[in-house]
Amino acid sequence: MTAADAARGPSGSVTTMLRDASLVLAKDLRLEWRSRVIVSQVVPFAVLVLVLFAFALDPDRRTLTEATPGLFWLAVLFSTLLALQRAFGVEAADGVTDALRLSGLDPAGIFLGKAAGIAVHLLALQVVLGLGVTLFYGATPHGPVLLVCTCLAATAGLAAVGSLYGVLAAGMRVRDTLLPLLLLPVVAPVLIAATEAFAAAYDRSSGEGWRWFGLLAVFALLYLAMGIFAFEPLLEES
Amino acid sequence: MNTHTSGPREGRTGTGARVLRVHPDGTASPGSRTFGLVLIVALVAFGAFALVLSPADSGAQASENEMGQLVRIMYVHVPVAIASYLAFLVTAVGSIAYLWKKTEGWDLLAAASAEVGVVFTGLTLATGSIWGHIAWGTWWEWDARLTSTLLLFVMYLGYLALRRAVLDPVVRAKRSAVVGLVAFVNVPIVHYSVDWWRSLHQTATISRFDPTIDGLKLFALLFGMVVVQALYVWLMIHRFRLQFAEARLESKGLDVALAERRAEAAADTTSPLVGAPKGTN
Amino acid sequence: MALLLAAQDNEWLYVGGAYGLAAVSIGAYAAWTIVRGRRVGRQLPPGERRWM
Repeated sequence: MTAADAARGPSGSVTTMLRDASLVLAKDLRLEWRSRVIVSQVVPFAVLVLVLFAFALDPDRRTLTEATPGLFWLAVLFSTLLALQRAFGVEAADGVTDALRLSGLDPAGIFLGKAAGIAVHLLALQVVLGLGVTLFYGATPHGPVLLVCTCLAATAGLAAVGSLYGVLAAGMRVRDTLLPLLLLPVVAPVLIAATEAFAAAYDRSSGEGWRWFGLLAVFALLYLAMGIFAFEPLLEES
Repeated sequence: MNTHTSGPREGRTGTGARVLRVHPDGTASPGSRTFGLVLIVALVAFGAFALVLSPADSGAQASENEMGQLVRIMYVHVPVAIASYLAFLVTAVGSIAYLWKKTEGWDLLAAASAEVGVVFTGLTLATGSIWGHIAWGTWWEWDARLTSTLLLFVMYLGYLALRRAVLDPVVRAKRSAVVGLVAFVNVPIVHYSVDWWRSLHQTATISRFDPTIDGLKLFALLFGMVVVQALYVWLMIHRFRLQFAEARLESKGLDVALAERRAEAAADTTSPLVGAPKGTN
Repeated sequence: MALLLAAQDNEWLYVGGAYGLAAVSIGAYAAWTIVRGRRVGRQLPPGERRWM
């Protein structure tokens, strides 16, 4: 903690934070580039979930098309859990959390870096899922701007809460069962808002959708701020 | 610290009246016992007002909604709901204060209040569901207030699960303080999102409980609020002391383990030829 | 008339259920808390029970 305080000057704290965030982001992306766990395991899982939804619901195309926004975001949520367990399992396994803490990096920067890494993975996942619902469910969007903005805002919110709770549950024996219980109720508003915004973008006029986008943006900003505030006590412990 | 383990337990019970003599090992004190006795009397009086003395909602007056005897469920449902919000507010205050001050007491307060809050929230959902079964005809309705209360319930179940899962007291305090804070900040977001979500899909308006009640019915409701908040305070006194005692026991266990570890280390360094004492337990 | 009476009985059933549930669950929770307190308190030396 003293090292972090010393490294972070009183004036250049924001630039330090962003620099440290980019360092952590680059580390996580390099790690994914080498291991390809998200690409080779989480993305196929998400597509599999889409196929399973089709089995569970009517194979009749209309049901699936109507339920597309909800199914899309449910698939994203489940995949987020896997991506988080991957992102923070990696840290806990090799003691990287300790290394990060002792490295003197700004805790807020570490948080933003982790969140950005998760966000990049989630956005890639959503591109694949978007193609998937178009292909399998025959859903065609009408409001592409709203669609993209919703994806960005929802991803920022999911990544912020996800990295906050990911580091919180990291290194616990019951992590795999506890993380969903903690995370899913908190991100329930994201599921509702993103689903409604998508529904607006897919078949209704986009007027209602922007209100939901606003909620997603507020959610994302709130949890980014909270993560920046709360990451330091979480890191400096044990 | 461990020297007076066998100290006299009698004589600690105070010189109060016989009825105020509390169990020597328990979390009660003469003060909390007195409070509890007053509370029992108040609860009986509340039962009399709520179930017998106050009239049914017959719909005879302009302020009545023809809910009949069902209005009585509100005298317990509404106070319990308010007590659960109070409990989670206390948890949030304890969490924020812990993150700020880093003193153990705030963490204990947050933990104790969260458990009481979960009990009250479960009861809120159950009594609301019982009321809804007659008023709406279904046990569950995807109503905004109901749904956000359910999410609140699950969130604090997660909070309690987290507390059980972490063994180190300081780590647990920090992590659960963050979760306690997040859960509380999330309440308005959940509420607004569920509210908007329902207003989009809802076709028929559900009959809400927002009547203007007066007279003895209003008195029963207000009395219930006072009694149930007092019940929360009484439960919190005991639950906080339990949490405190558990923390003491935990740190004592930690001290014992540390002492054993030190003894082992000392044995290691003083007699390197003998080797580490294996299987000391 | 019979219908009305039946409805009223039914209402009392629900009211009684709600109050009974509240009394039983809060009573059980209070008893559980006190029992837990005694169990933990027994393991602590009296000097550590500061609330007395």
